Order: sequence, then structure tokens, then C-alpha cells
Amino acid sequence: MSRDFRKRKKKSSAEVTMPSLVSLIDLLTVLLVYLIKTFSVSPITVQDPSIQLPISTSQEAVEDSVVVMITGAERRDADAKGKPIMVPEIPTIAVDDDVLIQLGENYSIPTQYLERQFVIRPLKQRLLEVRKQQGVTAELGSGEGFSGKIVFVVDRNVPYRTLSRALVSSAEAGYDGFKFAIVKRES
Amino acid sequence: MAKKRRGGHGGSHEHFPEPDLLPLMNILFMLIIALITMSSLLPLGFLSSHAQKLATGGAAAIAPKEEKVPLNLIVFIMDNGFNISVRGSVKMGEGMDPNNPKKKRALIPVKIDASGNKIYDYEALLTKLEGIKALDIEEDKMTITADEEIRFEIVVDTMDAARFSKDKKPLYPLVSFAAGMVGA
Repeated sequence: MSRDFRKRKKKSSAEVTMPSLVSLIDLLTVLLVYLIKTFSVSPITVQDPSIQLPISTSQEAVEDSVVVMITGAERRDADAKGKPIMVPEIPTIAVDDDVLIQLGENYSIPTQYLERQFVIRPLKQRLLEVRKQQGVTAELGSGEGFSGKIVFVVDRNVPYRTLSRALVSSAEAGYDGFKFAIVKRES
Repeated sequence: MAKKRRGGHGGSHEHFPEPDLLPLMNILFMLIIALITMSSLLPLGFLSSHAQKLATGGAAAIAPKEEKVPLNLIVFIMDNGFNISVRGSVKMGEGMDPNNPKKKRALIPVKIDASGNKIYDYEALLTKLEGIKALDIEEDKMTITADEEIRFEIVVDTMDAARFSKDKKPLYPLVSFAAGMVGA
């Protein structure tokens, strides 16, 4: 009994075997495939640190569409110690990451951009251009017509005054299927 | 024979040692970290609305068989609470708002918490909307309009409150928005 033990001890100290990494690699590959799959499924991601989305009980899935973004007046950042802080930021209105206008104090829209009090001219014009492009793409492609769907990625602190003008401008450009990006919460 | 046993693997296997998997593992780790960093961990979703379609057809348009008075439900989000309009009649609270004597009290006034913040009463709004649903159970559309300074977050919470009744039946899931209209 004791001889066997000594023999085994002697053997293990003599041969330093490398642990098999194959099973670990299998695990990592599965994890990688899962992440790539999840990553490709979501057509819209909100990475902008100056947007805090509202939380909603809506369970509707995310769809790809033209995106109008209204950023907030604060941006997430980190101080010297790495502690998360909020720093002031100029709110903007952008279409598909292309910034159109910078908003004034308290999310006010500069009057030179307003048309008939409720229409934001640069936003309407940009959306009309996008609509035209979408029409050309639809003609060349599968023939899927213009859906009129538009996604609003809006900071939760944006006042109704600014939001309603953005909605009216979009509707004027023919986009009336409004979808708002939210963070899902269980009801 | 003894030589073979010592080697563990015999013959031609000695020429093909097991490949070093550590660089591959490093790459996989880096890829996983990059993907986790790039992907948003927040469960992103959508909240739909629908814009009001303009009525088409003039005198020649076919009239509906049954005359039905539309509910025309409008929820006004005011800075002092909610007002509701049904069939063109705006329902408000009684008396004047103690915080703003120029304004009438809201039908569903806001509550003030210990730190002085305004809390909108979504439970009371839901109860009111359930009562209104009894007037026309087929109607599933409503319009939201708000004071200029009402934050988007409150508009979303109002849409959430109006979507389903307490027993999870659809209430007013189709929402349209109106601008420049305040029921005070």
C-alpha cells in the first residue's frame, strides 16, 4: 500500500503534465458563437454616453430603421479616480449619427431652424433625403416599399416641447410610424 | 518496447507534438472581451406609437352604416397632474390648484414626496381609463398631449399605464401625439 503511494508520488513529480485545454477552448468557442449571434441580432445599439433611455414595460422587439437621436444635457464620464460622474453636454438632434443641430439652453430649438413654429427644418429636409434614398434602394432591391417607420432614441429628460417638434417634423417628411427606444422592464 | 512505454506515444506520434493552444486561447479571450465591451448589456426594446392618419374622401365617401360617437380620448399631462378629455369634454379637478391659483386643479393631481418631488399618480390614471373603457370597449386609441416642460420619461410612463388594464387586457395601446394643445 505504502509502496504504491511512493511509486505514484515519484511518478507525478517526474512527469509534469500540461492540463488539457481542449475542453476550455470548446467552452470559449461556444461562448464566442453565442456572443456573435446576440450581437448580430440587435440592429440598434445605443452607445452614446449622453443618452439615458427611459424604462418601459413594452416588450416590443427592436427593428432596423432610420434613427433620430435627441441627446441629453449630461454625459456619463469618469473622474480622476474612475468614479462615474455626469458632466454637462450640449444636447443635439442627429439622424443616423449625423448631427443636424445643436440645441440651446433647456433643449430649446434655435428659432432659425423652426418653420411654422412646430417643424424643425433641417430634420425634415434630412428625412426627406433619407426617404428618397430609401425609395431608390427599394426600387433596386427586393421591392419592399417605404414603411414610414422611424426610431426615436431620446434622452429621458428631453421635454415634450422638443420631442413634439421632432415628431411633427418626421410626420411632415412622411415618417409617421414612431418607435421609441426604451430599456425593457418586466411589468 | 521499454522505450515506447517511456515515451507515452509511440512511433510516428513523436514527430507531431500537441500544438500549443495558448495563443489560440488568448485570441478567443480577447474576442470575447471585445464583444462584451461592444455589446450593450441593457435589454433594448421599442415602444410604438402611431400618428393620426388624415381622413380622406369627400362627399362621395361611403358613410358608415352605424352612427357611432367616437370616444376621442385625450390624456393631458400637465405639470400639476393628468386631465382627461372624452368625446370633446375635458374633465378637470374641482377648485383651483393650491400651488398655482391661476390654474384649475388637475383631475388626477400629482403627489409630492418627502423630498418635494412631483410623483404622477399612474394607478389613479389607470383606474380612470378602465372606467372610460366601459363607455366603448372596442376603442383602443388615445391621444397624448403634454405641457411643454413635461419630460419624455413621464410620457413613456403614461403610455405604459394606459397599455393594459389591471387584469392585463388591452386598454389603449395605440397612442398618437398632439402638439401645442393643453387641456387646462
